[in-house]
Amino acid sequence: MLEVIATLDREVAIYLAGETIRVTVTVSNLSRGKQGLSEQLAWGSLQFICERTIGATSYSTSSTTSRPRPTTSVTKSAATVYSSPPNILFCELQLGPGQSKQFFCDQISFQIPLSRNGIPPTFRGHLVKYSNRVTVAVSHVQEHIKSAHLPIRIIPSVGLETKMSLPANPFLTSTITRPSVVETVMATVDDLTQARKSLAFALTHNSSTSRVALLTLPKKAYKLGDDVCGFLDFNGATTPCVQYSATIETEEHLIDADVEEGKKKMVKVHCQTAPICTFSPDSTFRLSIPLTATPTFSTDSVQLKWKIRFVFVVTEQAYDVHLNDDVASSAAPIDVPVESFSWSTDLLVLPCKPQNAALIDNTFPNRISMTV
Amino acid sequence: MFIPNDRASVLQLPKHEKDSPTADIRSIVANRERRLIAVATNDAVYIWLANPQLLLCSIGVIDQTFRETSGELKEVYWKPDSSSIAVTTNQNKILIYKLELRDDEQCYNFTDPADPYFQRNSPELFIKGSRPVAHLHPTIIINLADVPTCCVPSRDEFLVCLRNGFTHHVTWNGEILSSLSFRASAIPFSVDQLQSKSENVTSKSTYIIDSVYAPLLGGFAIVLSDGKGALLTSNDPNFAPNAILGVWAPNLKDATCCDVNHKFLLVLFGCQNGDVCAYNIDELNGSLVQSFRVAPKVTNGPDFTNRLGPVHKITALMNGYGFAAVWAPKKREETSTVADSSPLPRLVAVFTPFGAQSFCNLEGVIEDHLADNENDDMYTAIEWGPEGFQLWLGTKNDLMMQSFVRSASCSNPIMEHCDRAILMSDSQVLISAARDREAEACAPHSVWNHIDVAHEYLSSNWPIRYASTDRQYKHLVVAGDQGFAYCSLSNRRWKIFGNETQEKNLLVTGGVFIWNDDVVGVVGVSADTDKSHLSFYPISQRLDNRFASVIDLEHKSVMSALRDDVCAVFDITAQITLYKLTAHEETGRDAFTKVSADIVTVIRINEIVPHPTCIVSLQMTQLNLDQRGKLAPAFYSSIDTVLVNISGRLITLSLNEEGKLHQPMVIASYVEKMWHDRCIVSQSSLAQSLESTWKGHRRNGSNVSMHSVSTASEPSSPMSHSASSHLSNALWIACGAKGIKVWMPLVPGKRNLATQEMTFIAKRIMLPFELDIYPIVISAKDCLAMGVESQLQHVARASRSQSQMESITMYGLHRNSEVFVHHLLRQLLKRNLGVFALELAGACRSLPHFTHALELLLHGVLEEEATSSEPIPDPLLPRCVAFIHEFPEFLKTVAHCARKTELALWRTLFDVTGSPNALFEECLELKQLENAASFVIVLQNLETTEVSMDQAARLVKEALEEKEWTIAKEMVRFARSIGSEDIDALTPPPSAKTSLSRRPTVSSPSADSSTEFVINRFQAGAAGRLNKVRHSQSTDQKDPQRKDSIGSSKDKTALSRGLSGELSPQLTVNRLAARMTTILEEHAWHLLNNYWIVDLGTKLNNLFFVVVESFVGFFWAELQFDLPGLLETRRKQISLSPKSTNDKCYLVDDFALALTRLHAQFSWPYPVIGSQFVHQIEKKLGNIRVSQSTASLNGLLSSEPPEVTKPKVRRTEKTIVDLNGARPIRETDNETSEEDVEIQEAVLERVRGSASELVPILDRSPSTSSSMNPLFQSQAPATPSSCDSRSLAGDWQNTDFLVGEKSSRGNVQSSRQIELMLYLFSQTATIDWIFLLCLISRDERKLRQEINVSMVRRSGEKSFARIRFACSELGRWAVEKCCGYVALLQAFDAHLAVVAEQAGVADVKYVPDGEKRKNSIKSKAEGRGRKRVDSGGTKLNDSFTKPVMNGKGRERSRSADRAHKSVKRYDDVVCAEDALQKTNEDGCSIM
Repeated sequence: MLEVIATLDREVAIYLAGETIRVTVTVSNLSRGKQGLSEQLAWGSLQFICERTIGATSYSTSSTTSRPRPTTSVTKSAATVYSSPPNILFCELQLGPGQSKQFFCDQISFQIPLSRNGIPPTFRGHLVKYSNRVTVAVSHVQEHIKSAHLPIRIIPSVGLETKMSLPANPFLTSTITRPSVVETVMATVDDLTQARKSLAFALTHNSSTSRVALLTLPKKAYKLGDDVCGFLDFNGATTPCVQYSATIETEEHLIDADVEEGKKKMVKVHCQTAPICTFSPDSTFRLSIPLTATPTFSTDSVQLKWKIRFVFVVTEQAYDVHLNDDVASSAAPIDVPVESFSWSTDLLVLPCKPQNAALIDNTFPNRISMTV
Repeated sequence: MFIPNDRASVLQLPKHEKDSPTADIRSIVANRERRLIAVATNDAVYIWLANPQLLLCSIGVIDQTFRETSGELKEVYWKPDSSSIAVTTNQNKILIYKLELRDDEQCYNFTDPADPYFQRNSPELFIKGSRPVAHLHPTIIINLADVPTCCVPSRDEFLVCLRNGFTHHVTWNGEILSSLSFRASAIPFSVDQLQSKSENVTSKSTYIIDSVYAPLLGGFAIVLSDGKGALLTSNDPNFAPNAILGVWAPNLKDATCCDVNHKFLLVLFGCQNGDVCAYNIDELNGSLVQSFRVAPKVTNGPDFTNRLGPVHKITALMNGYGFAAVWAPKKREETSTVADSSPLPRLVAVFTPFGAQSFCNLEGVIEDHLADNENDDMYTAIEWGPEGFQLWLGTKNDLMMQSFVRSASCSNPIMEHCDRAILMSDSQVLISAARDREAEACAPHSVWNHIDVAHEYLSSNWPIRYASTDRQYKHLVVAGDQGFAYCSLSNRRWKIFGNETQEKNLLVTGGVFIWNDDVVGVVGVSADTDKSHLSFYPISQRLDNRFASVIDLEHKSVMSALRDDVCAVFDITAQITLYKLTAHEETGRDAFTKVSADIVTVIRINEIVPHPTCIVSLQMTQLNLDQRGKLAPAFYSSIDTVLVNISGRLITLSLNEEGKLHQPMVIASYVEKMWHDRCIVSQSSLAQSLESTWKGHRRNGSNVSMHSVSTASEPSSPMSHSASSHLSNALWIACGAKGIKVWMPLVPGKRNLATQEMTFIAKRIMLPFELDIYPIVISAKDCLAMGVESQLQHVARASRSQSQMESITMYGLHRNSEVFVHHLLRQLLKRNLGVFALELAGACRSLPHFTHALELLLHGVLEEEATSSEPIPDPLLPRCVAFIHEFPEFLKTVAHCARKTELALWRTLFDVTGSPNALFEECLELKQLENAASFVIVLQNLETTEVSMDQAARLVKEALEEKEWTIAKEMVRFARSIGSEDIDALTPPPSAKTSLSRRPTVSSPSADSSTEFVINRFQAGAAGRLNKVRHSQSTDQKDPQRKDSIGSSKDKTALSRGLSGELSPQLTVNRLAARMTTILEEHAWHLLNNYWIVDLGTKLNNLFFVVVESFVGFFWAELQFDLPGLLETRRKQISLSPKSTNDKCYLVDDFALALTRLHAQFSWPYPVIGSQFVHQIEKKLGNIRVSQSTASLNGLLSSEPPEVTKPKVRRTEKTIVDLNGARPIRETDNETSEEDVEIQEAVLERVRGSASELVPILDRSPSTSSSMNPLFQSQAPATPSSCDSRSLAGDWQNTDFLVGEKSSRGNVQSSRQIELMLYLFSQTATIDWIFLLCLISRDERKLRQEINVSMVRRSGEKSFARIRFACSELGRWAVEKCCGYVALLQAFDAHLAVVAEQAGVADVKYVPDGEKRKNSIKSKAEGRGRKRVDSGGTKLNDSFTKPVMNGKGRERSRSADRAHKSVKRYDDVVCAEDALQKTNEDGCSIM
């Protein structure tokens, strides 16, 4: 019995594209004692693979068209988008009872190709799924290959295209550590997500005369984990708003040549609030972009857009004070006829530091083991 | 603990009259269930629904005559059944309104239009919850004799206190029960309820201004008009006048209002001076005892001393876990006409039950930004909404509702002792991240895992009351009004009851929990049968009663606790029942987990529980620390103690030897929260023997090992095991305003284990300490307290009128943390328990903030004892210093402490620690240069100038030796920043006082460019808190930055001085700086003499950096003087001393050694023969097998499989595994160019070793490019790589042809460094180094540029002759050692000859001093095993015509490279053929 354990260099398998994944593989012979057997492996290798799955479960139920789909399977059609060349860890490995051997990261590491021409981020959409993983495979002599997969969450990077300029003095460059991929990306993200100018939207319906609200959003670009704080001003509205909902959602478009499928878009709601604002002259909302989500990205086959969507429920008159003899008593209306209006605007969601994503996201363990 | 979140929403009150003035809110009162909120303005009453905030009905008093007779409305009082409200007026009237509620009818039914486009589409927009139709009807007007001041409503009647001193019982029908009326002046008051004599209120005019019913205290809490507070008790249920006894609240003279905390049995009084004081009842004599007195405080915001007026209103939370108060501004006195300060802004603060402030609305507020508030702008009314999730506030104009969050552990003992902060709002649960992951994240303190409770559940069961997770944070279960719901935290999928009637039927009364990872436990009541039960629902199944295991309970339970497999339930008869839970896996098709429960113990504690409401917390734990042998009597396996918190008194319940209950023991009072690791985990790692006895009972899942840290990380302390048990067994207690306490066991360490029989119950000690934050989690394993606070954040708002942005504020939740281990150490030291302090510290050694904690300990003690005005009989400082001395961090701690304390305290410190000079010496000895640098600053202030200068100089020398450039840099900077007049002024040892004024000691972190990136980001998150001394783990990262604080703080002054100094140069140099310069000079010579050019460059440039950075104008001259100046002197010396002894001239003596050192330092590969050249010959000579040598030339020796014979073969391969870079290469043309770019990044990870050896360097050459060489050759060799062409802007292809291609060059950075050094040397005509650098960079053009006639003139004939000699010397060396250089040297030599002729010095010869060279060989004995060919001035040509063949084919083949077309003097073809033939012969041997 041999146990093969692959461990990553960080606690949670979340990486930015462009970073290097360092894997340590430990092979140990589990048998102990005198009667333990010496075990032999022909070879072991590591490989990084990105797979795409098009067509999800929701698809098959909703598609009523009789058009033949490209695959017969309704469950899953996986295609390898990227695969790194296999890294041979060892050949002809022999381990005595209780013996174990480690293969360290500096020999076995991958740089995740940059997203531009490289691999898409890890994404679980309705229409398309991208899954990234490191596969560790070993084989006994004359036997089948045994492999285990360690899923990796990859967050797309921004800002790596622009190279950092070197400091003027060549001697100082050696003492100053160059910013890592994470630092470069985060510097770009910080720059992009800085609040520069608030955005104000005067929301009206029917005609421009019927004002509903004045919306202020501090910025358009956010990073994962940020809160979108907005302000709605109902002062001066001609149609009172009794309730509104603000939703952060992603829209998934297929960029397929297939027109019918290409039109299809799936919306996923990430965060929602629906406060009653019948008596409020203004309202603030806070919506957080989950750290587990995928930032804005697009590949050849899918585009993911982030949006903030509002639905305003408006009425003519929500509450009326009516006089009754000498006391002015009033009561809430039983029925309130309402109309709803929707509005949305795009947001740009940028990557966060992978260590931040690791704070919340526990779905990507950093090690995998198999017994052969 | 309750803190606000987000922003308060303003609620507009509809006006009943068009012309009525703005609504002046007088009173906000919630009904018993807190579903309805009654709001009274001066002329109207409104009934609001608490959630959603909708106005149900209102009634306005608009009739003018009525208003005149009845006056304005004041206060509202609810009849407990919510059917009526009473409203007092400011005239002699009380109005009673009937509230007609129709629960079966709903109002605010939003109806969508027919047009589907305008219909709502999201379920969140459909409000569910009950919205009863309500109407207010005026029913009764009660006429009174005087103005009513306050009322106390109860079921049948209400008490009305009048201004004339009378108190009447009035029924809700308006009848005054005159027989029960009494007068305040007639009430006998006493100090206690037993013996003391009672007295009546003297003044007849005294009346009750506020009163609250306090049933659990046995009466009413009242405030009298003269400012006294009291408790009215009576043994008569009807409160008959003759049976009333008043109990004074002692020392209370200025009360204004009061409220009662029922759970903690506290009477809260608000005072005229703004204080809130609380009283509890002494059980012995029934007197009132003050438990605390607090005032609102703001650490970062407007100062309200002299502005804080009386407490306007206090309101305690219904569940008792806090109270809130609002204040009025101080009344301006008539005399002070000067508008000295603006009136107090609106002020509201929230406190924990025992008075720790958890929130104040002015914290973090800049007063100027507050709107111009008119006088008397204040919160006029305050009330808590349901469960404390809302705080309703009224002002003169507005009604506001602020949402609040609370910690999930309130009234939920299952969530106490969590290692994460878990908060809950009315609809959300927030969980903090695992702390061990926070270190690397940015701004982790504001990252929360927001879990929104499923709308389907929440919409009809708002708000959530209980939230629990399991210890691994896998599942979350919440319970709202009815039923419960749970979700998996990994995928956020919620499960709710499929059957809504089952949900409606279940009322959770005692909490929910997750047991065993797969079962949800619920302690609740069935609504239909009113039966209490403990139910278990398997997580794997649908949420349905079909799968539930129900255990019937006797009584309604109000609280539950869980530890391992035991669940404790506290019920309304004050009975604690311990159930042992057992899971049974059902077999069969529809298998699910069934749970059975067996009663372990029943504990009746009704004698010590005044009322079941009074239970604050319930825990099962193990306090007995006995490790072996006899088991102490226990309720169940590892549970020997049940801890109950009854109204703030923490009581232990345990068994005696006979199995009877011990007398309950109060271990602490005023306890509002406690943490005890033992409550969730058993002593598994500590007591293994014990474990085996009950292992069988334990299930795997519910147990987390908390010992991982304490046992796994033990830096050198043999006692850490037992010491950590001090902490993990400690009981942490939060006492509100009274701070934190720890009840720590004093476990004797292993030291006397052998001798002592350890059958004892651990002795424990109670240590108090203070924290700046209010802890929500106390982590015993890393001695950190974590708190949460609401911080203001600004949100932009666009205003419609003026199109500009304003900002509004909302609250965000941030965690903060604080170290506290130093408090414990100090307390232990104070009590002469140094041994335990050592054990404790030993256990904490591995913590990242340990050094910081030591520093805090020293600093705290020093500050207290040095500033004490009276002599201290038994000073703690020596003990403390001795304690710290036990740790290797001693020097660092003292240094840092000194840097952070005032100069005036230094004497006190160093009197105890020993002189700073001695400490400095110690630092040097231990090579702790950073600490030494700190001490230099101390020395500079305490010692004579001479001493400090000497020491500073020593430090610089040491730093240079150790290549600690930054320290050297800082020291030089420090030296230079001292003005020369300072040095002179300091010549006599300065008294601490005088220098105090001059030298700032407060450190300001300097922006070190290398870490700036990280630091900035960290601070960005902590903005606004900078003035507080807070500590978190990350502070340690900042510490290294502090070392140069003085330097940076002086930059500015120095700079300004420097600017002026340009004009008056004598100011520019102080003695210390001059000395520094000398040292640097010497070191520079030293480096130069030893050929450490890179270090020289680094040093130079570090200093250069300093100079350029801050002292541009000032020290530019210094720089000029620095190295070029030195070299200039050398040049002169050379020309002066014809003998050219190397004593002071620092000439390159051993050129070969110098060259190899250059290679090593720049990690510059040695040249190899150009393979293109070889290829040409290959073509010429046809079938000669050269591939292997080519391969070897390309540096692929180690990785190339032997069967690859031709370079072309590799093209067809898909990938090559190259072990050097461990990166696979795809061999397509595009990829190649891409790889080419990537190579440079890889290379930039610089090879550090300066003493690298000759052969490995070959391998170290960029691997990928070398493997690409065959490809590259097929293209034009002139194709420059982007970087190399830039840096080596010469005709390198020319020399490349001579010595191989670009692949064997060093990286870009090295070449840039070489270039810079070359520039520097050429400035000063340091011809020998120019030659060497040109040689190493293989830059013939550069050589031509640099070494010409004028250079010869400048450097002198001697030097030039040396170069020529060196050239030939190296040529000989190269033949032997590095054939790649041969051709190059020939070319160089040719050039030198030409120059020599031009300059007319061709005949000048250099004869080296042979003996001296031997010496130098000896001194460089570490050398590279090079054999020295004795030269004696042999001609260069000879060496080539008779090349020394040493049999190694590889090197010989390289020598072929010397044949370059441009070098016409040599018979190239013959040499090459010769070499190739040799290769052919023994080519295999090179593999």
